[in-house]
Formats: sequence, C-alpha cells, structure tokens
Amino acid sequence: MATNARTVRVFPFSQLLTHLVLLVGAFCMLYPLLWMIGSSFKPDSEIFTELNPIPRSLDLTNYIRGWVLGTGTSFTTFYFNSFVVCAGAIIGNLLSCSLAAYAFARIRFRLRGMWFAIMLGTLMLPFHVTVVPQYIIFNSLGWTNTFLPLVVPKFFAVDAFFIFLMVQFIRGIPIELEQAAMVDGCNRFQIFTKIIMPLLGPALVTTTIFTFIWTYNDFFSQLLYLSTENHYTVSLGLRLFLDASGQSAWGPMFAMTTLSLVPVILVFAFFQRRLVEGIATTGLKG
Amino acid sequence: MAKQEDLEAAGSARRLTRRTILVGAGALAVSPLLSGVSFAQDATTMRLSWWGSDDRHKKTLALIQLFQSKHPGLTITPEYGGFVGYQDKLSTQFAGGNAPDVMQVAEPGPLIASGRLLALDDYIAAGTIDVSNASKSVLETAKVNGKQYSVPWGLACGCYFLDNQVFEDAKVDIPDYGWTWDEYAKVAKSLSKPGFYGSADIWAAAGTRSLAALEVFLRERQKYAFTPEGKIGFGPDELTEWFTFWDELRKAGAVPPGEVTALETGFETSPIITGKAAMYPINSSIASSLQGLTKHKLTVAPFPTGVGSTALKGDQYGAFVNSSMQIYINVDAKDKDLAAAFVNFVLNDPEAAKIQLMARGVPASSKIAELVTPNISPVEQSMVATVKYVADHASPGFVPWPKQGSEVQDLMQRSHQAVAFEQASIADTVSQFFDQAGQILG
Repeated sequence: MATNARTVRVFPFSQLLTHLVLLVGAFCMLYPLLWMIGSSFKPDSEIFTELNPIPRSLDLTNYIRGWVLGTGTSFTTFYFNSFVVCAGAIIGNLLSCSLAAYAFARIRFRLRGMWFAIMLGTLMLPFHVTVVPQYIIFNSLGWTNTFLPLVVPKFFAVDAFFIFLMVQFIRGIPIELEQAAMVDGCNRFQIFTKIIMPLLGPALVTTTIFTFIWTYNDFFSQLLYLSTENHYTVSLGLRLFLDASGQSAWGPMFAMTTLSLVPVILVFAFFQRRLVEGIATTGLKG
Repeated sequence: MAKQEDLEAAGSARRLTRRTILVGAGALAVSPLLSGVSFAQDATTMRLSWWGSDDRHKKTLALIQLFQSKHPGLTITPEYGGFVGYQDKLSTQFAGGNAPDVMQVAEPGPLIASGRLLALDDYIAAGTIDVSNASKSVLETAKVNGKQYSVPWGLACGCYFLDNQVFEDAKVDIPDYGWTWDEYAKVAKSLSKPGFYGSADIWAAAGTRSLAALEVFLRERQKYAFTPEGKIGFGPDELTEWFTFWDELRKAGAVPPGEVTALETGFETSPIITGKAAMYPINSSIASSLQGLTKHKLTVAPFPTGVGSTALKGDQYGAFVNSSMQIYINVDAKDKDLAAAFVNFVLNDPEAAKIQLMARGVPASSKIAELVTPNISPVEQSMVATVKYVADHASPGFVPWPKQGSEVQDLMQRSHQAVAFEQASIADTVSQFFDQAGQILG
C-alpha cells in the first residue's frame, strides 16, 4: 500500500492515463447500449438514417406504443409472468439445491463419489440433447403452455452448478458445529435447518441472483413451453415487434428492450457486494 | 461416530417416507390437470401457429375471429411469436406429437421428408381449396416430388426499391416497369455523385440475393441456377458476363465499392436507408418495413429485363414471382377438413383479405389482390403493381434448388465479394467458383 501511494505521488499522470484508457474502453463497450437507449426515443424513420445516437427530444411515444401491443396484451402481463416464473425457480433452487448439497457434503451414502460425479456431469450435458425427451414428458403430463415445466424441475435440484457451489460452502463450515448440535439432540433435519441454512446465507444470495438473471434472460425453454400470448414472459414479448416481411416496429422494440434491462440492473446493483462475497467465500475451501 | 451413522440411517429413512408422500401428493395435484386437458380436447378446437411482428399478429387474430364466427362452436388457439426459435419450437412439437394443426413453416424440407405435413392435392382436386385464381407457376414452385404440400399465403418477387427524393432532386424520371439492364445502368450512372451511388450492389454481405439475382439473368436465356439433376445450370460465360456488368458499374461509381457494400448487415443498414444509394435490390415483401425506416418516399420496380438490352441480353423475361409465405397442414391434424377450409378461407375469402391486407405479402389470388389495393399504403400499392407486372410477364419453367443450394449461394456471395474487393480477377474467380461448386454438389 505504501509503495502504491508513493507511486501515485511521483507519477500522478500515470493514474490519470489509466483512468482515461479505462473510460474510453468502458465507453466503447457501452456504446451499443447507449445507441439502443438513444434509439428508443427516436421515430423509426430516424433510427438507421441518422448516425447521431443522441435523440433530438425525450419523446416517450415508443414507450407508450410498445407497452400495449396491437393484440391487446401488455408488458404488464409479460413482467408479471416473468416474475412468477423467476420466483418459482428461485424458491425451488433454494430449497432443493441446499438439501442436495447438504447430503453430498455431509452424509455418507453408498457410491456418493459416483453420484456426485454424475451430478457434475449433467453440467456438461448440452441443453439440446435433453430438449425433445423433456418436451415429450411434459407434453404427456399435459403441462405445455403452463409455467410448470419451467418451475417444477427446479424443486428437484436440477441445477448442478448451485449444488456444487453450496457443497463447497458447506464443506467450509466447521463440522464441530454440527457435532455440538447433535450432542444437544438435533436430528439431521434440525441440523440442516438450524445450523446449515443460517450459515449458508452468502451462497443462498448468490443462488438467488443467478437464478433470477438466468431465468429472466432465458429464451428457448420459455419459447418452447409457453405458446399463447397471455403466458408470455418478457423475453418472449420482446420478440413480437420485428419481422422483415410485414410491418416492423423498431422504436417500440428498443424502448421495451431498454425497460427490460431495468430489473436485471437493479438486482445486480443491490446485490453486487453480496454476490462477490458468496463467490469469494465458497472459493476459499477446495 | 457410530451415533452419527445411526442418525444418518434414521434421517435417510425419514426422507424416503417424506419423498414417497411428496410423490403421492404430486400425482394427486397433477391428475385434475390431466383430466382438464382431455376435456378441453373434446370440443372443436384447432391450433394455428405463425411467426411475425405485432402488425401480423393483430391481423391474424382478427382473421381467426372472422373464421370462428363462420364456424360456430369452433375455437382456434393462436400460437405466435417472433421468427427466432420458431422452427426449433415447431420441430420439437412435431417430435413430441404436439404440433399445431395449421401453420407457417420456416424450413419445410425435413418435415415433408419425414411425412409430418399433409399433401393438399386431394383437397385441391375436390375444390375444398380453390386455387383457380392463384398463380400456376407459383403453385408449381411449392411442389415437392410432384405433390402440393402448401399454398402461398402471400406473393413476392425480387425487385428494386427506388428512393423518389433522389430521383426528383436529380431530375431523373422513375423508370417504367419494362426497363432494360442498359437503362438501369444509365439511370444508376446519372444518379451517382462523389460519395453517393446510383444503386446498391447486387451482392451483399448479409441476405441471399447474390445467386437469386443471377437466376433472373439466367432465366432470360432459359437457364436456371441448377439443373433438375442438381448440378450447376449455367456456364463460365454467363458468370463472366454477370461479374463484368457489375464490375464496370462499380468502376464507374454507379454501385458502391466492396467496403461500402460490406457494411450492410441487413436491410436496416442498407445503402438506401443510410443515404448512400438511390436504388436497392431485394425481395418485395419487406416494402412496409423498409418504408418505415426512411422519410423519403419509396417505390417498387421489377428487376430490369435483358430483352432489347445490349448488356445481359436475353430473349425472354427473366424476373419471376415466388411465395413470400406458405400455409401448411399437419398430417395428424384433428379435423383435416376444417383445416383445409381454413386454408381456403385465407386464400379466397374477400372479407379475410380485407383484414389481412399485406401482412404476409401480396394476396395469392389475383382477384383478391385487386380488391384490397385501395386499402393499402402507397409503397404497398406499388409492391402489388410490381408483383402483378412480373406475374403477367414471367416465363414459365422452374427448377427447384437442391439441398446444397444455400451452400452454393454462400459460395456465390464469397466469389462476388472477391471481385468487388479486387482480390482476384474475374477469370480466376469464375474458374474457382465452378471448381468449388462442383465439390459442393458432388
């Protein structure tokens, strides 16, 4: 730290330069996003004809036109659906992944190593391999065009990534805590709810955030299982504006895309510190 | 430690019972859902699936309302969304035995080959689907192994979009529909000035117009991109002539150099929108979308002809009409007669046409197209007139592209690019094209 402070004093320009380079880099990376936000305030006929991304006025027409579609469905429905699916997925992942992780981390059962390896192996299974069999199962259950195929699997600990995250975390918790609880007469389930769950906090926050972002951004499985507009989520709603043949609506599409970023950015901004915490603490113990 | 083992055993036993209870509860929860579904299927229902934009969704929903009002007791379930992922979803639905009854299909080839789509010939023969007012040559293009699996849900043709503002400012007349390649070159040159080009190039980094546009020229000489046996249907002479025509225009500054054309990532960023060119070749079906992107008034003109031209000379009309969208029926549709009635309804019903307008291109029935012309925007009216002109003048004959057609299309794009960027001479590019095309087609 001391050397750093001295370096700054001796070369004040080098830090200035670093910041300048970083700012220019950040601007370049953010330019497409800024272009989109700028375009969301322009009429269609100016979006691609004018190079300047800054709109002439803060015209909200696109936002008003985009919110309620020509078919009568509005983004209120899409946001509601997205949040319902996200909430279901988050609850499912928190309950089931923590249970599975606890079992893998603490309970000795036959072939535990093998089951753990298989569980991790599902991480490497491409999504497309399982699509058709899954679709056939959910279709024969009569679950297509409901939220069930998107939520119910989450209650069966299918997200191996989160299980792995929590296993690593639980392994870092001193076993003495559990032994002490056992001496006090706790059974397995009580140990899990009274000792492990409260200590698992940072890992649960990480799981919540990632599940939210991944579910909110998911497109294909939602497209596959949701067929009618009243069941559509935000990511499906955004696809309703454009088609080359026929009439496209770029302005409203950019406006709604801009709005759709708000929940993700909010979640990230509020939980950013805890997110880093969760990953850092799980990474400490191997 | 022994105590812990005991505890584990007890815990797992308890969890087992809990799991059993959960499964039982789950099955109970599901059973009413299942019965609900089977009840729903007893009523007359039909599922209709399509992709498109908001405008098309709105019009198609109104179309469904109208059809339902004519068939009391029928409920049509609409399933729609954007183009991205549409075909993946449809393929999965077919694999899962849960595909819609009537639908648009993005890639019909594999579905026809695996027998998932219904051949409509019997319905056409019986008159349930009336195609008497639809273009015979377009119907012909939709045939696979001699069977009609679809009818066009809209027509389109290759065309030039013209920026009227530029024509007016330069005091150049908008060309007649019957313009020749000579006239095209003249107009392109007279509209050019430094940094501005009379016309966009015939190749583009995105899109598919390279080989399709060449086919317009080939048809002037009764040739096609491919032979019926799936080989290349033209010779080095024609390709050299084609490349040379465009190369001369490029050198004269009438079409943009390679680096300008390469910036086009789609029609949104085409030179006619970014203000770099006055004429733009593409499929007519994008008329409304393209007009929405610019304040300049656009009109549509057919591709130029080689009849009576010195450049790209030919002895018959080359441009042709194709379907912009087709409608298909599932081979396992619950009520095939009803599905066929719906197909006939979208094709021939005048009230339906007034709802659909140009949501899927120019109506396939010429009578219907005429009927709705007063209700549409100026650029769409000029699109309808262009498609009609081309349909009236098109020469018969059609050779479907083989499976590897799109690979040859990509090769043509790369070859044209090599000439435009002056990476290779025209002679070398042509001989390379035939070598590589031969390899692709086996």
